[in-house]
Amino acid sequence: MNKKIVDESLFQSLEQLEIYLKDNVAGAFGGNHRSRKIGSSSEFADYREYIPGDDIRRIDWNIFSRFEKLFLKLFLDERQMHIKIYIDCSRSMDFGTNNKGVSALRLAVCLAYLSISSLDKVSIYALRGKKCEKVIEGIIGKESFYNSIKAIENVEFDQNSCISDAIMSSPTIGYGDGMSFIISDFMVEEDYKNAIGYLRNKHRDVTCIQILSDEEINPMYRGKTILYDSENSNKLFKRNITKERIKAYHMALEYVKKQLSDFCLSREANYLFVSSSDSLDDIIINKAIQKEVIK
Amino acid sequence: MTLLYPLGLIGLIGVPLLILIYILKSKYKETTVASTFLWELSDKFMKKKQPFSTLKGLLSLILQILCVIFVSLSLSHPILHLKDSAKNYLFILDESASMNMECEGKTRFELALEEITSLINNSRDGSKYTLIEQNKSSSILYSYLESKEKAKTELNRLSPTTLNIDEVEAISLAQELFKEDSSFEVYYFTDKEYAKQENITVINCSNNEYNASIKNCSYEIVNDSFVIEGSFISYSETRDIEVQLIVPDTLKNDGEDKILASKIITANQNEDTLFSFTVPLDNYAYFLVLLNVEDSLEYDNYYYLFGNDSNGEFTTLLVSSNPFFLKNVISACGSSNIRVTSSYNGETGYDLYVFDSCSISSLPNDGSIILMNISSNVPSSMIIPQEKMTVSGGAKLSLSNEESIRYNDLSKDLLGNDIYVSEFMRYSLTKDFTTIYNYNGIPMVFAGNTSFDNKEVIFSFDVHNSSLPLNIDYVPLFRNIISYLLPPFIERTNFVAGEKIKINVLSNLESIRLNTSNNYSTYLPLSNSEIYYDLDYVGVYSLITTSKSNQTKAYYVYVSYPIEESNPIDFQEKIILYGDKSKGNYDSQFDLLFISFILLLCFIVVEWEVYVYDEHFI
Repeated sequence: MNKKIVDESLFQSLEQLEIYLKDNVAGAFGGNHRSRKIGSSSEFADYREYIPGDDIRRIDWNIFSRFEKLFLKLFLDERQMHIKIYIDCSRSMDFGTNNKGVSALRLAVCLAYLSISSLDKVSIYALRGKKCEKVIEGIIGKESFYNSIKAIENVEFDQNSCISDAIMSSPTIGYGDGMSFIISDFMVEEDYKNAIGYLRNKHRDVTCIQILSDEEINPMYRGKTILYDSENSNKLFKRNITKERIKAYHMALEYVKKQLSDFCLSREANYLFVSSSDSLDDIIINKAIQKEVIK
Repeated sequence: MTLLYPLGLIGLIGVPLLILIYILKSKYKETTVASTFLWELSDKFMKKKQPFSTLKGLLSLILQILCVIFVSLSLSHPILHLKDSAKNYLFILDESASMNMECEGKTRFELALEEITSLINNSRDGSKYTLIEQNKSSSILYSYLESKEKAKTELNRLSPTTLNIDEVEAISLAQELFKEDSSFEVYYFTDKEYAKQENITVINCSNNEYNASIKNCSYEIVNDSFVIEGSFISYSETRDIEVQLIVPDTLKNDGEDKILASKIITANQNEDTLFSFTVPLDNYAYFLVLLNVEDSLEYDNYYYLFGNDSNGEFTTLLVSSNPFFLKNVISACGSSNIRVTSSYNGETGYDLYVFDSCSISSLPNDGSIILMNISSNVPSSMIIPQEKMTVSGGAKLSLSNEESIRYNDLSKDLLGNDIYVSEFMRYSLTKDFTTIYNYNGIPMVFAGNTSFDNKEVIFSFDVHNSSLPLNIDYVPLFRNIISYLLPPFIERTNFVAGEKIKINVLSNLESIRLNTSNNYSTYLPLSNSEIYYDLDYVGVYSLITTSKSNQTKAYYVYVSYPIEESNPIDFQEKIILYGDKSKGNYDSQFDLLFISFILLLCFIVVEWEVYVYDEHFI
């Protein structure tokens, strides 16, 4: 797939935004994210009594003059996070009038740019079958980011979907050092659960972005139809698609969305549902901010 | 149940065809989707199938099959046969004169009414009744009447005529109805016997009654005597029958009859029998010939003979400065009173006005007109004078030889000898006319009507400047002209029921009252010079005229019974209503166009249903 996925004008509107991380204390030095850990930033955090051995340069002498006790002035630590974006590269993503895969890549680029803007490290992985293949890894700085876009544009959606196995097979999951985005249509039976659980165990913030095409949200098939699965041509659904069937389909979709949403909630992960026809503005500005994925 | 057109069931082949098409047509559309995961999951959310949900999917097919079955059955036209079911009755009632014949105190017509009433009473509720009157002008009295009571009540209004009416018109009317609706049970109530009947049940109301009838009768004066002659016939049997010659005291038969003569004559069965009476001349106003016999019909047992004194004298105004030839010839033609004057001053009240070579400011609006050699314009006349023509050596007139009744009357008995005219007027004519004599195509003597619709005859020349007065045709020509201008009031006094009487309205009449034999009285309109009146009833009609001078005069005519209706036994070969009693109804309705329409309608309904179902319910 060779597609123009980067709209540079969008990047300007993303400058003021950053990914909202909740549960990260680790990470590398030099980043822009305030850690809950006490560090060396200029932002005041608290006071504590002096213990011998502490750096006497941090004693607040003004407090000592008033209370005649030694207190240390504590400052917040600032860390560099590692944002990891996992893109489901199954064939089901290469579908829709507004192609889900393209939308997924665009979304990934936006998220990556947001991270780069926040001086974070960014990696994008393609989930291809049971493998997690790096697209870009450990990118810091906009120049490197721009140089990597070509690699993102060349991502192909030609494998089967196996989200959990793929993510868990990745050697570079990290620990408590940032946010993991999983962009997929999640059209698999509970396959995502292990992956989300695994990432959460690694104290990584997780955001699941479920992306579906309009044809999947509002299917227009009527009458006697055989539907072949794009990932497995032997798998087919042969029914008379009636008004009742369409109603049942919508109920099934809501069920899947709720299952995923509820699971994410139970694991303190974020969940976003987007349509491939949604604009990036709409996704980033409205949906992501509303869900406190981005601030 | 039977099928009139079993071949129509061939259409049921369409059912398996439809199913085959349905199977072949119902291929699944194939398409690829991102994932069938949600579709498979949707099975969990499908409602449980209702008992008829499978049928619902086949609704289109079922409807199409039903349509095919319906059309096939319609084509095969099934008929349910239910015992004693309500029927569609069509009664044809013969109202001809012979239905007046009596047997044991009841006429045939009354028997027919009883039969119809009985049929109506015994018919099932829900039956429908249609009745055609076989009358002078056959008509439908009522059609598809469902009320028994009303159907019977309407019968009471009917009565037989005294006319000779055949069944052609009534049967033709019945045939039309039968063609439109072959479910009719057709009954024909008559007194005729038919050897062959098809689609019609003839109820013969005759009982082989006996009847004798006067066939004809007339009188003439021979050697100071009245000779009354005629013939009569005895149907069914040979009998000795007394024939009486009577002078009734009144026309109403309520006075004493005076029998002038009577004879008992043996009348052979079905043979004409002659009778003859000779009585001395006397001032008899009329005779009555009577068959003194007891038979089934009274109407044809008597015959009135009236004298016709309507060929009367007439009065004439002759406007001429040289009246010699004209006065003599008019007098010879029967004018009792001729007033001669040299100028016309608007006098009226004459039967005939003759204007000879004079000027007239306006024509009289009464009486007939003869204009001779008129050179100035005459208002209300049909001529406009143009120019005077002089022919050296004389113009030779010739008869026109037109083919018309009027010309034949006007040229009757004329020999056509040469008539020469030295001078004549040319006229332009404003109305239709009949030429008697012409010269090289120019009308010289011609007849027509004035603007008052009075008759007029024009001579375009002065008779004194012609050889006409010396010609042998002079008197016959004027006699013909006078007959044309002043026709008899009535031409004869004996008619047969059903004939029309022609009444020539004389210009001096103020009114004509007509009294019919069934006591109906009316004044006839005098707007036309000829009146025609239907004589539909047997008996004596009287015409009472009142002149403008307030003198009244009575004319009598006798309308006799039509002899064709006298025979009590009438055998006919056949009576047929064409068409198939069962199929006929559908021959007219189930034509190709109608079938096509049904098919088209079914197709549209099915397609519409499928469209609506697909669009709104899936």
